[in-house]
Amino acid sequence: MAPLRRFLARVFNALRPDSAEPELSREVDAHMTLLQDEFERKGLPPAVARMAARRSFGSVEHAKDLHRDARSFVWLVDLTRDTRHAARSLRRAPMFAVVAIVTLALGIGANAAMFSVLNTYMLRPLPYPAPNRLVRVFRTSIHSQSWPHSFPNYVDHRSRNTVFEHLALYTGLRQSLTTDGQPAEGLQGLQVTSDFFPTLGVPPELGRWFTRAEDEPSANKVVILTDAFWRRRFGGDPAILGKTLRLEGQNVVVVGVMPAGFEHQLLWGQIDLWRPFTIPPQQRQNRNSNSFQEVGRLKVGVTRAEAEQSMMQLAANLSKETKLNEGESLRLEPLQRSQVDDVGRSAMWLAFGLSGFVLLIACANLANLQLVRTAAHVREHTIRAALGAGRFRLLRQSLTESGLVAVAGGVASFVIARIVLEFVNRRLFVDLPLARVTLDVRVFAFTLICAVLTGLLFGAVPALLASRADVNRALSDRPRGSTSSSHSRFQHALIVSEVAFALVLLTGSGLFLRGLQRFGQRDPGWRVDGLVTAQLGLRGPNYATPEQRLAFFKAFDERLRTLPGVVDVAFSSSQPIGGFNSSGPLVAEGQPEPQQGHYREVFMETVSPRYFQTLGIRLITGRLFTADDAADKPRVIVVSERTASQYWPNESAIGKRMKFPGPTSDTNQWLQVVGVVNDVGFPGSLAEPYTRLEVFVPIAQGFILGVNITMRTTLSPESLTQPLRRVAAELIPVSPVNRIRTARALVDQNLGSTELFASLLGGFALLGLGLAAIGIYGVTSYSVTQRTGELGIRMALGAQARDVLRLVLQRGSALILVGVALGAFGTYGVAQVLTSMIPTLPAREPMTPIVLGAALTTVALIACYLPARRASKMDPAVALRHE
Amino acid sequence: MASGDGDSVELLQGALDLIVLRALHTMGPLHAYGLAARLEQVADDPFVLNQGTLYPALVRLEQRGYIKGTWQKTESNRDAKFYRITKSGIGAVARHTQRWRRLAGLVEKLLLLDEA
Repeated sequence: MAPLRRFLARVFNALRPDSAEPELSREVDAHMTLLQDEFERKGLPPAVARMAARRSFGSVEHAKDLHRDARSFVWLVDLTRDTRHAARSLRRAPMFAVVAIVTLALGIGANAAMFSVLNTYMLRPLPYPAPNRLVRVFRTSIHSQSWPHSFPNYVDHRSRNTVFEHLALYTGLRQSLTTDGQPAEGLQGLQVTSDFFPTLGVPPELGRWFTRAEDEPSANKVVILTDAFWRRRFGGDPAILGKTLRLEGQNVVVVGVMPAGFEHQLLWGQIDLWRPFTIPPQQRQNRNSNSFQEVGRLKVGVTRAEAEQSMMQLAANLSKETKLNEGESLRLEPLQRSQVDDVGRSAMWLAFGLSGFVLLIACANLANLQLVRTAAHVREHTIRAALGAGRFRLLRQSLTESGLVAVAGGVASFVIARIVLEFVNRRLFVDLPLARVTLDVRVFAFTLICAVLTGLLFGAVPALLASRADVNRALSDRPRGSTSSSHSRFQHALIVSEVAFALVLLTGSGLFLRGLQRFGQRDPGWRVDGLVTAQLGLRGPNYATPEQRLAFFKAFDERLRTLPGVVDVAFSSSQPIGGFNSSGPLVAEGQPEPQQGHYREVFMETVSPRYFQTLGIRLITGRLFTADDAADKPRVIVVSERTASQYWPNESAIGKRMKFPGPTSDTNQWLQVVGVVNDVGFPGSLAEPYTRLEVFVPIAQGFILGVNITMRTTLSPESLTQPLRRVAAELIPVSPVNRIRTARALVDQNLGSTELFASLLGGFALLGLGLAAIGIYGVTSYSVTQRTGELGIRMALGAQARDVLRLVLQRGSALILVGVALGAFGTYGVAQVLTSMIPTLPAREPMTPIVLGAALTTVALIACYLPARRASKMDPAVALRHE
Repeated sequence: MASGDGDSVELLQGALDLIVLRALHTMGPLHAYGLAARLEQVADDPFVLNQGTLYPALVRLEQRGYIKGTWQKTESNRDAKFYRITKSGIGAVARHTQRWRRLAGLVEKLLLLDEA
């Protein structure tokens, strides 16, 4: 306790440095009197006794200093004194203070906002215990590093691994909830093995987790709800456990409710519930059916690298035993990374990195402002220096002032950050109502560090320059004093760096935005506009056989066509927005089979006959599907142009046959090419190559579980919703139609976060440009003012207004050109980074940097021209008298 | 935090603090001059204490809550600030004495070793 007590007393005394002084003086005086009394008692006359007392006591001032040192913190006393001094001097210059604080708030605010985004996605720990032990397991091959798994492989991974405490399998799930007398309600969730909840390690709010027994298909009529769904749909009914819900036409018992926040939408998307893993028995055995995700919790003390080694070995052993998945392996990734894909991550880093340039420009502006101020104070400084103030002390005082401005700017930057985040949140999480980018302790710390660093950066150099001023010269000089060469060198450096920073920022965001625009203008090979899409789950006993399903498609198709405004209708297994759902290896007849693991990856899409016409995909040769391509007819496929040219480079693909690899005797496994269509691109995905190998299978010969409905129509999704639901409800009451959107909206949504960061960057770039223009204007104005006397002499000696203009502009434009040249290097670097981060982005093009560079040069020249013109219009007589 | 008790770097300061505490403990309340006189009296050497150097020790001890100063009249009817040891000060005397002895013993041992 004693040390703390003393510490607090010292802080108190430091903040009120003079409060203890009178008491101390009184005590020292009393001491002195007693000493003098003593000497007088020994017989000394009073005057001599006083002298003796002084001698005996020692230096009174020294004793008082020692007392001050001991009773408070001298550095803190100095700091408070400097801070007060700085606050007073800022109050005397309110314009400077406001401009500086606003500039900083903009610069730091932009950075704090971007950092918050980064923090939310990549830094903040997941809301589960020991989140760094949570990993996802992916299958890897030459085609992708992030393949899903089959159920039997998962079972082997779970039982044979030595590194996981728990390993769970999960996959997305749509469920329709029916309540008597109400239309079916579409819910989203995950189906998970019983290890899922122990893996994440959060106990339920109500009830229990799934049991191992509930992994069995016969025992899985149970459901666990999210807190949000429980509250929204059941008003937070505390007696929910044991109640029965009708999901997909089956009675299912609620056994648990997970606590709020557990569903962490940033990671899992919008989900309402969890079901046990319910897949058909044949899929449970099939090692070729790879569509499930693994998530695991590492054992304590096992690193991810060790675990990955161990799992790779396990994968090798497994493929040796099963002769499957050869040439493949396993990869572990922190669960947290799943919150954002690679493109989103790149876009965030890019936006964050470039937002730093806004701050650098703000710093340059402030450095100039500070330089002007310290130059104006040079006389004050030099007088104080002449009176004995140490150089360090003066330097410290200038830095304190910058620090104060920086801290105020840092605090104000939160307002800016909040505004930017409001914008981000409104656009980023349309589908995830519970997800938000928020400020937290990390953001506060980041902002504080930004503020302190910027304060040092823009405060130190001017302060150093001022402190180096020669006392004799400055005192004898005229007040404007310090037109020293180091000052103007510094100003030149400021203009050059402002231009260079602004150029990098402008071109970086320009290339990004333009790249996105060019990506959006690419012809995807189908007509995105004028399409409305929807989804429908086709499950249940009524749709078990191919005949039943086909009959449903036929009836549904006929009814949809009769809807007014619907031109064409198609059904397919997925949509060419962000990629097709399923892919696999295919080999062509008569060609050598590649080695295991080196097959070409072909995307397979099951489609109804009118699919191509509906989407606007063009037939190149052969024919499209017809109703005759039935289940009992020979199996046929339509391939994309690229597929045709890859497999049969110099001949027609029509009539050729393909199959899945491996020995086959059944002729029914051969797929005959009947048509070639143009390549179909995925305009909603920057993550993978734009054009891939694609093969289409007729609906009667394929299998669609989740049906994608695509309609070419002039109607809006809103006006189609009611008719579509009504038609669906007549045919298939338990399964609702959901996600009714235009194809364009889906594309935009897929690109949404990338576009959002690009447009944020655009905003930052404009901000940076504005700040740089203000900065260049400020520096030029100041240097013109400094040269007023000189310019006056020139004009008095016969220089024309034009000459003055040229004189000022010449130097300005030279500096701007140097800045542009330096910035060009930076631009090249940013373009390199951009294309290496997002290879699919068509960002390599010279026009954008050239146009933006020219624009920046123009703005900078105007910023120079305005003060130059003012100088040229000066009256020489006034200029000569200028002090 | 501030100069910790028994910090070897501030040995002399710690020693002075201990001496002041002990003096107040054994002799009862004293003012700064009284303390200085007492120290000069105890010291065999004509080691002359700059009386001003007592003040930092007094403020340290008072801030730690070991002593408490109040203004009173001396026998000669002068005003003086009398320092009195507090309850936690009494506890500190024992602790600091022990620590000092250990330290002194150690130093003594080392010195003997060096001489040998």
